[in-house]
Amino acid sequence: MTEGYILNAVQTATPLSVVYRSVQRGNGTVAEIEDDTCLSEKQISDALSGLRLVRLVEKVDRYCAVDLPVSDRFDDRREFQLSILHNLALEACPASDDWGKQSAIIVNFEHLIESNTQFFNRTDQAVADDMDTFQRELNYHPDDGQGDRNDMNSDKLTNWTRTADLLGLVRQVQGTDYATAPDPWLLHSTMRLATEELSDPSPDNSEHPCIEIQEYFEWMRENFLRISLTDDGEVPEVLARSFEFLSRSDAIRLVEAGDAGAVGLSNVPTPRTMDSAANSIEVR
Amino acid sequence: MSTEPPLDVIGSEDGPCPHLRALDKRRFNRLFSRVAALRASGTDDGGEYPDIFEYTHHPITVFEESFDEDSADPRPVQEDEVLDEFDPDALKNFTVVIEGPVGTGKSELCAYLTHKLRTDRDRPVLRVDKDSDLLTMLTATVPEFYKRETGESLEASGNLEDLANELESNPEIAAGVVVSNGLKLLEADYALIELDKHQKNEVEDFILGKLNELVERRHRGSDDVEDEREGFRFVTKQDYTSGHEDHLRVFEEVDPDPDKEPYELLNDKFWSALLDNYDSPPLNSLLKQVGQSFDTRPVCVFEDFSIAAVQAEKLRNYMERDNDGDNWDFIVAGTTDYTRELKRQTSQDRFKFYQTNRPGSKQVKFLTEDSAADFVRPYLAYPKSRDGSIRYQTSEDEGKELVDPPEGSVCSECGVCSNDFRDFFPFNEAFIERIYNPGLDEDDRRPRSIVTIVSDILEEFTYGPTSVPSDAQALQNEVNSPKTLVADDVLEQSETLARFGQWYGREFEREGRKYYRAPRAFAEAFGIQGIPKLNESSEGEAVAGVRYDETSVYVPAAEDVTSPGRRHVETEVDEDNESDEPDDPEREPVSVVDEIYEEHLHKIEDWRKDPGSDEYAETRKHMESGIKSLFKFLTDEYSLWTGTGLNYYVGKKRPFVYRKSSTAPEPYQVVLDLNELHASTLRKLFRFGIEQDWGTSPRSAREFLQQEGHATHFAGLADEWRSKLVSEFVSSDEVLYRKAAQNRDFEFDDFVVATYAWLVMLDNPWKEISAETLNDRYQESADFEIDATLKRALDRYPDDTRQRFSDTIETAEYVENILGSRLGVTRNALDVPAVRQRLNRHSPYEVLDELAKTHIDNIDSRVRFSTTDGSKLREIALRMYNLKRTMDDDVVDQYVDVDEQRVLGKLREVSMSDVSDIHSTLIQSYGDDLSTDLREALDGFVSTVDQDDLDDVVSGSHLIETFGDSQQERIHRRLAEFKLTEHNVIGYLDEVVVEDDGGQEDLFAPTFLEVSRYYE
Repeated sequence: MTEGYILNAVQTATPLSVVYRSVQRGNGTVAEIEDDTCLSEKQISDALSGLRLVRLVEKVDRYCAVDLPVSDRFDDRREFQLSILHNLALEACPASDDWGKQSAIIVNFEHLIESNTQFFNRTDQAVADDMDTFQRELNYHPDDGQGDRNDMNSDKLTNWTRTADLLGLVRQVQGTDYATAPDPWLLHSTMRLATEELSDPSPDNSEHPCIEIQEYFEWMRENFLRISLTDDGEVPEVLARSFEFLSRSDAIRLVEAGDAGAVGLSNVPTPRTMDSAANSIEVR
Repeated sequence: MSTEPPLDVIGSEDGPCPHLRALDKRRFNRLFSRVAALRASGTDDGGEYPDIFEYTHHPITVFEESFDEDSADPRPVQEDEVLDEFDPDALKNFTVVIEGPVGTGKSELCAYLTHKLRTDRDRPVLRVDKDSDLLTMLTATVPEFYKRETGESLEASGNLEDLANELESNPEIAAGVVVSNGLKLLEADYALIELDKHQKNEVEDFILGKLNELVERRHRGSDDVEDEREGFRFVTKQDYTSGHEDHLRVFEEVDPDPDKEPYELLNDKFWSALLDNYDSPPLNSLLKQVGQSFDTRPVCVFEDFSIAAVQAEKLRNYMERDNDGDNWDFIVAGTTDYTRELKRQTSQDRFKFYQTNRPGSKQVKFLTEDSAADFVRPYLAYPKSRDGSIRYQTSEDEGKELVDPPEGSVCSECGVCSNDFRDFFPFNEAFIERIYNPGLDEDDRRPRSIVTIVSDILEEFTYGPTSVPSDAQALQNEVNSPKTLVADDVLEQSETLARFGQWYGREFEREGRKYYRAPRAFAEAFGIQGIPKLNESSEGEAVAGVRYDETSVYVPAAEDVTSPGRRHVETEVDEDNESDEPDDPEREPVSVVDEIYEEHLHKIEDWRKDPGSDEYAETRKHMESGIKSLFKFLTDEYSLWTGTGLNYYVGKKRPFVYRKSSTAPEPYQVVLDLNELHASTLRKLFRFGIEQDWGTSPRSAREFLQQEGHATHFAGLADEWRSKLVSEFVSSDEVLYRKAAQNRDFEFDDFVVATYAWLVMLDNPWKEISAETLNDRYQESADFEIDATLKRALDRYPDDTRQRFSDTIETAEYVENILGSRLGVTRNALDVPAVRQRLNRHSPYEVLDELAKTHIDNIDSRVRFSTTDGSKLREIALRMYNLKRTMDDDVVDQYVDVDEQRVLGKLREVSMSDVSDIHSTLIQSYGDDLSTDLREALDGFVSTVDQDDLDDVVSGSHLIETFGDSQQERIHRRLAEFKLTEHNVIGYLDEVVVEDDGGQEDLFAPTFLEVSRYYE
């Protein structure tokens, strides 16, 4: 049987984490989860479907939770966000265009970053169309189980937006209006993970771990989000704002370390603490 | 000897100019030192820059001051003429006084004269720093000079050293001496009031502070001294007139001396008292002593005569005295306020007075807009001249002209610059001229100011972080913006190119459009994106209409408001406002928004530098209207969390404060750093703000974000604002709970859950408090009310107590809203496990018991849902605090005459249908034989009680039965009992229950059945 499609299955994203935690506590049937969470049977079934599509829940006889791939370092919410993104990213690295079906979550965000779409309405068909075009350009064709393609439309955009909001990628402004504003601290968490895996020597004998920006972006594509530097070799504006915020909060410093070329922040004034030829992120 | 500087202090390896790359910071600072004398001392630095002063010095012309009222305009005098006034064979003291406003070249001329007298004429030079003071001069400057020149110690220096040491070790004693003796000296000449002990102590304290300041000044360096700083004074005019130091008013008369102000009298006498007491010679005696030990005439240079004002009179007498044994040449520079002491009749005859500017003019003669570039040029050329890269030739036709760099020189090898700008690089003439005007304010157009700005920019360019000088922070922070406004599109797409055109470009018309044309070589050298190397592309378009050809970059200028094709936005100008110009049918009408926008456009950058200035009040007003509108939208009407109605009432306040503001941010303000906003963004915001203030149908914030972008940045700011609010008024250790509770991890969400739990308890005291029951109630749409039965029971309390219950229930709507936004999963479902976890951790009572009134008061009353009292977060918390006290004081120990066991015993198995059947049978069979009381009781029971009532009563009684001894459970029990005792079922229970023979109460129904049997 063909696997379901996340943008159809998950219409309300917020129960996902509640249901996941309930399963994690050992509740293995809808009835048990219902007793534990008081959510409706439908809400629970939808959430379980979604959780299976993001590889956090399995079912043999009973539902059981898959251990979060990212854990023990962050709070529950961040662990959950990062784990879903990680699982989806693993399937969104197509070799020979062999896209994971659920890659829409990652790919649509990639589109917003690349097109510098900073503000959108989740019911806007034009935005859905642009996402659809972008997906096609990437040769990503999620099937609908009957031989056709799951095209983006405003309903799927709504579902995507709610899930992306849960994942910390977009932020509700009012009603159905959203800003593409990834949680800077989500990115900071990925920076921490990146430096744990690929730490470069820090400049000036700093005790803080460091990673080249270019290397970080490549690592992110494999592990969490498909993001790229702009054609001018800069951090895209939407992400650059997070970089600037984290610099200002002294959570990172953009420093020059090693021989890699300098990487600027697109359309964002240089943070005070940023080296003039910064090419690396020092995570503090 | 010069040594190679360490690598890490050398300029950026990536910098385009090898000369600048080789310039370490020490050399850089010497080159651009604001202190002229420091540049002039280049030869003292191991011969590193022996000719730096000559190279960068600009010849100065001064005006000879005449005291003849009938004389014509003052005569201009060249600096070498002034130098020639110093006759090596003169027999008496000679003095040159240089006067002029701050920054007009006094120090430069002093440095020139000093430099020449020392290097060309072998004169010993005693230089008195601007920041020096009398004590330093007496104890250090003069003795050190003497020792340096003669190799011997000065006899008097022992005493002077004692004085200095005494001031450091026993300043209190010194202060006592200064005040006591100083007052005596004053009393000898002037009438003083009688000082009581208190006033004298105050004067001594004041002088003690001054002595400490004096000692500190001696320990400080003087390399970076501003002209404006005046020499040390015991009493300044400010001290005397400010009103803060009334104890200094010791004179009987307001003006005790016609020639001197009172503060000067105090200052003089206090100094004399200090020096006399330590047997120190005054300055003039010391100079005489030192001067006589030289064969060549020594030179004493006072760069800032304010230093010696206290001794000015005696010093003047020494300078002007007609004594063949004296041999000092004096150079005294100062502002006219301080040099007037020297202008006595005798000195007017014997001294030479020069002014650095024409009387009544603030302009520096040698620095004008036309000459600004030439003034700065030597500073920029000097580093490149050292290897011969920069050389000039002078011809009659062309004047001074830069010649090609010799083969093998650094500039020749580099090849970036053409001769048009090689000596200026990385600036050009247009750039320097714009720094002069309008960059510097009119009264700040001084040599030092322009050199300072240039050096600040160059420093950023040489050592980072700026790779394009026109992007330098120094320009954004320190100078006014140029009037060269570039097109919005350019600002939008490349602020670097926009600024490049603004600062480097000259106005240029091309195909009917105005551009700023700047040398392409600069853009290439700086690596500006969009401008390729010449060998890659000779001409083309970069971005937003910016074009380049082989020699130049053309940056489009901002469109004129009246130009065709400009955007029309809003209200048209009043039609009655007639114009002399003929109507142009192709021209769009000018809108008020456009008009204001154009009028203030050029002020935006200057406003950014000083956003609080009243000068830009209107710019600020519109800008803030725009920013506030975005904040309001992006925070969902200033709500603390999206989707909740709990917001901060901003009103006319600003939710932000500028980083450059002198006031600290309020708890409800985030810091807005205007430097984080591109110029193009500011322009857009400004127009948007004008629309809000003036437009008839202004764009909404939503439309603005859709059209102009920037949502990510402003959403980030909005999130910062929310985080600040939450951290200040929700999660702070200073709000809601007492301190100890904070340490026990009581959180705001605990308060929300506990409050909601109590509201549910009041809504129905027979409901168990659990995550499930709270969730059930959350899903109900009915309004919260105090349970009707409970309400009757509360009648036992006085009004004010009852009021506390009703006050609390009034807040339910808001509490439920907060609960939903904090712990809701969907619109009608709570995160039950999370609520459960909180209830398990702390009971509602435990949470509410930790509320502290003082910390509740710390919640700003503007954090609220609406204007009603009950909707304010502070009020919600306060009402819970009060209710908790009521529960403790008036409820928990209240006696309630009800026995839930008895109720359960009677009603547990009763079915109302059975009761109704029996009731019918009784009535039919016995009718009037039944006692009236029993009949009425039975009728009432059957007609008003239904099965749900019975079930409720049983359920409530069961709940009461389960309560333990915790305070939460005791309170809940009492409320449940209140309800039980007031329930109408209980009333009937007493009336219809009959005791059986054994004196035991039986179940209600069997008893009732028994009654019926009795009547069978």
